[in-house]
Amino acid sequence: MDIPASPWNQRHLIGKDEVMALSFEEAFEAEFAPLHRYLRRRVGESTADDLAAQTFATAYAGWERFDPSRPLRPWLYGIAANLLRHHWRSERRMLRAYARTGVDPVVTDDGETVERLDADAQHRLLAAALAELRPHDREILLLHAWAELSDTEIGAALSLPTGTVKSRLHRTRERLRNHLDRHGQVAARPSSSPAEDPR
Amino acid sequence: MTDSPLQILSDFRAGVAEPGEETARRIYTLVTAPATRNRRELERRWYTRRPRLVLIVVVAALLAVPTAVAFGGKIVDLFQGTPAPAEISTTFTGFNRMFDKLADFSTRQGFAMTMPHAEVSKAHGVIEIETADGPQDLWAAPSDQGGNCYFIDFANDPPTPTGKLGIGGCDPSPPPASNINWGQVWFRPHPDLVTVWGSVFVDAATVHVALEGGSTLALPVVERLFLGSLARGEKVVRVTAFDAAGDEVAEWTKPR
Repeated sequence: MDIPASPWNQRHLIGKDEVMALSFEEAFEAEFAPLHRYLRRRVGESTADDLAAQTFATAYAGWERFDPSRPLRPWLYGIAANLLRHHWRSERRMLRAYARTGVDPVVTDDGETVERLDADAQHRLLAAALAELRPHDREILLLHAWAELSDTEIGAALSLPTGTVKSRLHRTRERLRNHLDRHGQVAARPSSSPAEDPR
Repeated sequence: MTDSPLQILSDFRAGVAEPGEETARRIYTLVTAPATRNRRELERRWYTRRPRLVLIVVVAALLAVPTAVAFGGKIVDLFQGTPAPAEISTTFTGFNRMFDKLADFSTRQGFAMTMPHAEVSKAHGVIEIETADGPQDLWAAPSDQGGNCYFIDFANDPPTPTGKLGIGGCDPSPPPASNINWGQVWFRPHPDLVTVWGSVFVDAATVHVALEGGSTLALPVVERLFLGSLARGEKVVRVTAFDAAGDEVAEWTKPR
């Protein structure tokens, strides 16, 4: 993206050696699209615009103080997770609506002409299961499955010990499996899908 | 059905698209907008929903004052009034388009922002300084909200299809309480230099940029604009404007 430089578009390592690390512009270029898409999957496009803007505004404001030795993605997704808390209820409402009607508000919420995703039974059941998860558990699960953060990164994003993330993720996956299994939607043995690969 | 829960989850809403270039540009512009009235309007809107966020944004904006010691930049003569070449006019035109989109976006979001527009046909050179990386130019065009829209680039950087790489904007309306609006930035192709520039909203002939190490950089004010080049290192602590008689007419001091 060709964008002008900006007054606070820089970041320093403050220490013995000052090093110009990733600029805000570079961070934005690298992380904006995947973060926006993740948020859009969670809460729809218009809210995703707002949350992505607020996430990067917060990051921009804190850029000078951010320790460049820390990984960027967990920090950004942690900010986004804090902002998403205010949308947990609407997220659940949208999941329930999709489960009930087969029309996903996330892909139709802006009146945009978007080819609607297949409203198959699997996804409607999944939406129902996601809606019933505890919000914190849903957060961890979706950071893992959609944002593709590792357990360690999720821990850093949510300020949780990695062990806690692992156990909650395991429990949530089991809960999801049980929910889908009751409706005959999953195989009996675990899959080796990429999302389950250990990182 | 034979998929695992995580496979089903991975597929769920997988067709949701990434944001387009325009969305990215619009949000980048919003996020990095200087502390002008428009930015404050954006923050006010957020404030009603996220009280703590605004505090973070404002504090950081005050703290985000950076590096410098310098070599100031020697002023090059015979530049003021030079008509802007095509690539600079294109850049100002791009500003106007971006501002239009921003205004449109703000209206759709429920808070209308009044955005400035540059009179592109009147774009001209104001200050050219000699830096370690060659000449650096400040171009200006009148803003329809009063004051200037400006653009700063390195003369020897090649133009891109959308204009030159640089920093630009328009004077805030109303002016800040200090009557000095300044900023500093580095350009990726020139990582050892920090550009300092600004506007003075009263009649002034020079500004003195005081650095944390105790040195001061004196810069002329031309059409109420100034431009200087610093090396990375120390921090700007004060910017003071003087009129032709040498009397202080405005001052910005680093907040404590």
